[in-house]
Amino acid sequence: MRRIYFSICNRRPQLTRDRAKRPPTPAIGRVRALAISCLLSYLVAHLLVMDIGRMVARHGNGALSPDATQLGYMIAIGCLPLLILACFGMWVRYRGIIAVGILGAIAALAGTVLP
Amino acid sequence: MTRETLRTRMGWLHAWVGFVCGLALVCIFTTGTLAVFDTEITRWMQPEIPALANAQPTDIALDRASRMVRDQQARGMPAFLVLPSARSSVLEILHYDGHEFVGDILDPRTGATIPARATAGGKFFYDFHYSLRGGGVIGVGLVNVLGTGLLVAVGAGIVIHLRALLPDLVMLRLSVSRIRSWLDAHLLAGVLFLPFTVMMGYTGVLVHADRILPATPLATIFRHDAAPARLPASPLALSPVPPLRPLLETARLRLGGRDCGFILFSPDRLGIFASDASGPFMTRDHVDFGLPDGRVLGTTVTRGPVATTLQLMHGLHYARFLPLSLRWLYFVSGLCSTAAIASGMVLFLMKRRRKSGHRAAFRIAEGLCIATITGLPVGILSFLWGNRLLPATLTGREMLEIDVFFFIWAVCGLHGIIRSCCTTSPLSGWREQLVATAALGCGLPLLDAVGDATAWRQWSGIHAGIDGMGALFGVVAACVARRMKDRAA
Repeated sequence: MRRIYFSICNRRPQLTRDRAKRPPTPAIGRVRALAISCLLSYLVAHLLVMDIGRMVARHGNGALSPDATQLGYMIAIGCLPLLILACFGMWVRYRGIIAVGILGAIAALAGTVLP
Repeated sequence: MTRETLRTRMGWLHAWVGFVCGLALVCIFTTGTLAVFDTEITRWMQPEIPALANAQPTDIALDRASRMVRDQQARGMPAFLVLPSARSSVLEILHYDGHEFVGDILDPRTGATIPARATAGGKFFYDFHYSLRGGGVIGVGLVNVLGTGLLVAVGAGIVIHLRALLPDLVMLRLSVSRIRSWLDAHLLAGVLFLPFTVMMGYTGVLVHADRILPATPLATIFRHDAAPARLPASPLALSPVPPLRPLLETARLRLGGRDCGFILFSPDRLGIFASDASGPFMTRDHVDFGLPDGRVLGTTVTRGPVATTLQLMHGLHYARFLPLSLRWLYFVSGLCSTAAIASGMVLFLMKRRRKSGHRAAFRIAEGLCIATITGLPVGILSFLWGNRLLPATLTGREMLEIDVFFFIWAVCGLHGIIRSCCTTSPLSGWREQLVATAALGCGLPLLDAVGDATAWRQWSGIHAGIDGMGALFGVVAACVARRMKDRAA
């Protein structure tokens, strides 16, 4: 059949191939967004633990008390899922990432200011 | 392509995080639910232990127990003494074997060792619940990550259903389409037990929060400084222990009238700790006594708002202070939370079956789902059957019980994946494992009655509870299997 076709048309068939770059599927973009959200939120939660520990210790007797660290854990573990949700959910114009990033920057700055 | 909104993104997050984490969370919630009755399950698995209602330990028994602890410590075993309580009326000399606390059981009246069969007991479920038998670092860390995943999935689910949280409570349409009825069941269980699920998830992660959020800079975790050369510690001579009775009375007074739970022995001192069952605040308050004279060295009582809050959260998660009725409430709540996660996983598969049912990844996911939702109960029931069928005097039988559990569970996993990948009827794997659950569950009371009728009479409440729950699960599994067969026909 193909041979007949060739003989009739006397030229090779034009195989259509979509050379245009396919846009990334939403799932891949979402997985990437989730990974970024988890990483950023984890870093912010970690900074929160350290900062709260230092802050409470500073207002106490100066030493890093276990109470201060525990308070940091209580707040950070509560915040971690909320940060991930905010980061991942508010994806329009990266509002979530920017908000969590600003919070992280404040926490990092506080870490350098606090003793 | 649908427009990206907060709701669609949260729907995707809820589905995928819920399914991936749910595969392990079902196991964690199931074993955690069983661990509410860990002491009772251990009693069921050791029918040789006689019922000793409200037996207070005598002076002879306490002295004998302290001598045994010292003997074991002299052999290099870090043993400690657990005192009788309302749930367990025996003295126990325990040590940590890397997974559970195991050891000798003593009669509180005479101090004689009770020749009970060695068993992994209910503590196996407790260990599996918080570490997945993966050890203190990897296992506990993984469970904490999964717990955070649970909180993320629950948060996303709340965002999706925020407007209809209350209507979801009264919505259960079992007679409409299958997917709709599964969704209603998922919503009902999820919304009704939402506070419980969030509380257990949050407090559970908080118990070992340092495993995922270290309080030291992250850079220092990967830095391995050379450990300072440690001088070989000279072994301290084990001081003799004075009579424990007066020390226990002093400790009880100093701990504000709380019951004493366990005693830790050091070479030159001993510490008597408050019982976890003495209140909702799970503390490690203790009184130290010097040896050999038994003088009071000091009382450690942790106070302060942060410490008290943390103790309350630990107490709520461990639930060791609860009376029997509230313990049952925890058990039912745990079951319903497990059902919410499992029904969500089934929904995930149902929604994707038409579009992706032919794909290998879908088939494997369904196989894993079968292994988790129906294979785990088969493994748990096999564990209980193994306890009765393995010879009582067999050495290392506690590890054999655990091997039985993992072997049967692995067989179920393999069976689920093979049935899902290699047959045209996707429901056959589910149905066959449900039939196995039904047979093992309904047979459990018979096996128990045949094995040892004396224990049935002595511990009737415990045996009725465990055998009854086994039979109930068996009947439910049989009903579901029959319904699936009717639909397939």
